[in-house]
Amino acid sequence: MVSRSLARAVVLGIFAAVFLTGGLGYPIGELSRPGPGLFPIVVSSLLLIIVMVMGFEARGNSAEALHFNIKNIAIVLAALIAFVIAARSVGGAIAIILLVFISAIAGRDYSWKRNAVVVAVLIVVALAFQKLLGLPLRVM
Amino acid sequence: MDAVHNLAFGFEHALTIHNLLYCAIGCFVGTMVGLLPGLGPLATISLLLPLTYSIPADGALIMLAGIYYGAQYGDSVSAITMRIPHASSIVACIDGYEMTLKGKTGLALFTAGVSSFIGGTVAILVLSFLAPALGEVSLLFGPADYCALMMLGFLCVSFVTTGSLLKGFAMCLVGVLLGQIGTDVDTGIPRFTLDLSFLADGVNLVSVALGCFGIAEITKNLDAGTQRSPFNGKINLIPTWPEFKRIIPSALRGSVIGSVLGILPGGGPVIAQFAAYAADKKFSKYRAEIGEGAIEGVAGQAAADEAAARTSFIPLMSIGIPENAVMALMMAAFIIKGIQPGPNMIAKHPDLFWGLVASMWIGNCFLLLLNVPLVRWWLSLFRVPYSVLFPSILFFCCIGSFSVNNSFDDILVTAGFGLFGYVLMRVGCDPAPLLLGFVLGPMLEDNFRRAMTVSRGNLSGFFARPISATLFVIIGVFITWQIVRTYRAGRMRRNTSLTVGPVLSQADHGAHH
Repeated sequence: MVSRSLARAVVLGIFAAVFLTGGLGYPIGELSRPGPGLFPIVVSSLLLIIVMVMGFEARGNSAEALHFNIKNIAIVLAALIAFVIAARSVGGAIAIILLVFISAIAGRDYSWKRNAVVVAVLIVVALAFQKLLGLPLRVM
Repeated sequence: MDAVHNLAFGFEHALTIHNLLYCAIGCFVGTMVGLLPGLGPLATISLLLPLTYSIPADGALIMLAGIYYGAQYGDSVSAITMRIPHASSIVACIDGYEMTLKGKTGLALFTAGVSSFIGGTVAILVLSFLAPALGEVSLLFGPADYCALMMLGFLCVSFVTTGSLLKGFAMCLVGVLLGQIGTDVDTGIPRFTLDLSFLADGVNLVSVALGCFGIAEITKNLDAGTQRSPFNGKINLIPTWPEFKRIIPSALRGSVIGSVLGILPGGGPVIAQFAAYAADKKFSKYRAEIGEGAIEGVAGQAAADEAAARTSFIPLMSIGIPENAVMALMMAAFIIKGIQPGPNMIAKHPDLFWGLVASMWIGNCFLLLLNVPLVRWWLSLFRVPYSVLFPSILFFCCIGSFSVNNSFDDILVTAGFGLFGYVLMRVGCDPAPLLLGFVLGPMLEDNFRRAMTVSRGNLSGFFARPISATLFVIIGVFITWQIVRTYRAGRMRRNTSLTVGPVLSQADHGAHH
């Protein structure tokens, strides 16, 4: 079992470390003429200190377990990426079909008929966006 | 009399056919989307922001404000009828839902509507008298003072939204760091862009908001896997006269509390609701009934909610600093429209400012006239199963991110923030302070650098000015108070674990090592 508070400290710690190492790569300047590196270094160091306090507090406090369900978020992300790839290459209509049919896998029940109806409605909405609001999304 | 004159000027602007229409559309769409499960005001506004791109600035702001109030009201409707709370309607769940259980849904919805109207009206009076005065005060603010003010805002928001200073402040800093992505304004050096050209302008706020709130929320609901049961009860809207009389005192009390708390940094609807509810519990004539479905329990909090939602515009429009996440989003919307909120906004764009203030009241009337009677039809939205709803919401997230720059890369960025937001949610971090940090981050850096340049690199410059020194003292007191509290709580826990018995404390020790 992974403790939730420990996981929190680890996630935020990695985040702060990434920005700290990134910030060290830019000119720091001096206090009277701060360069682009100074501010990110200050902020990410502050974050690191907070994370350490958090980690300290998380010690021995394992009451809450981390619940992480990779399935649904993976399906949602796959649907979004498929949408982008299709919208770039073939157009919005195919993209909407992919988005709806892939993301629906995450729902409780899967129905081809219902998905088809949703797709039809969304294509009409997309056309309305394109024609009425001038959104440059190629639908067909 | 200045304020009256200005308000009249504002109404002149707000009462054009176009602006009236934008206001009505905003309220209508906002309520509809706000009603949907899992979409609070933040997600609603970020989802609907693109609708306003093709509209002229004054209309767009009026429409956005309408969306905000609409979403707020839609939230309280879902709280009252189905006990689905969002950030902005936690308190409405208590007495509102109790009233539904007693078969008084109509009365609860009517009470919420009328009280919101009263709260909004009071707050607009406060706004029109106070905002210009505060705008003048803010001209005294230098870079160091702005830094101090923003830090205070971070602390207050962290404390209010997450209840834990450490967690919330960490999220603010995460937001500040995310705001660093992009080209450095002073030197032109690209920072944290991973050599990706679409990150050169930085991450856009809509992607962050839609990812962390929209997509992460959807996934959370999918994980929970529960089907929301739609509301099928009868709704009788018109109250009796004695019932109506009970609304007024409580709503007035709530309005005053909400107006005051809305102005303070970190304040806003959530804290105002709780304060008003507590006040009703203490001072109301019917305090014994509160908690079991009393009219006062709904009226006070609804009025405070609405009043605080409006007066929280004051710091944004007079000082240029948003005090909570929703206002941060509003500020981004202002900037997209080419208007920099701040002390000069009232002088530079009086038509926009007073038009917006006047339209707030008009929006209130729309809410009362349109939403309250129409609410029973909107509740039928819930009969749409979530399996149909969520692919559509995903699609709107795509459209929303795409339309900012007409770039497909932004959808990928949104997806990335969806993952990030989901991870944060799972490790128990609320992303709302992140949004505030993200919007204020660049401003904080700019002011920090300027303050350092002005003081020639001397950090004591932050304590030499009266305003920033005072603010930093407040921050120091606040932090000390928190540390003492945590320390005491920790000691109390240890004491109780000792008295509970040696077995437990041994287990505790085991976990420590």
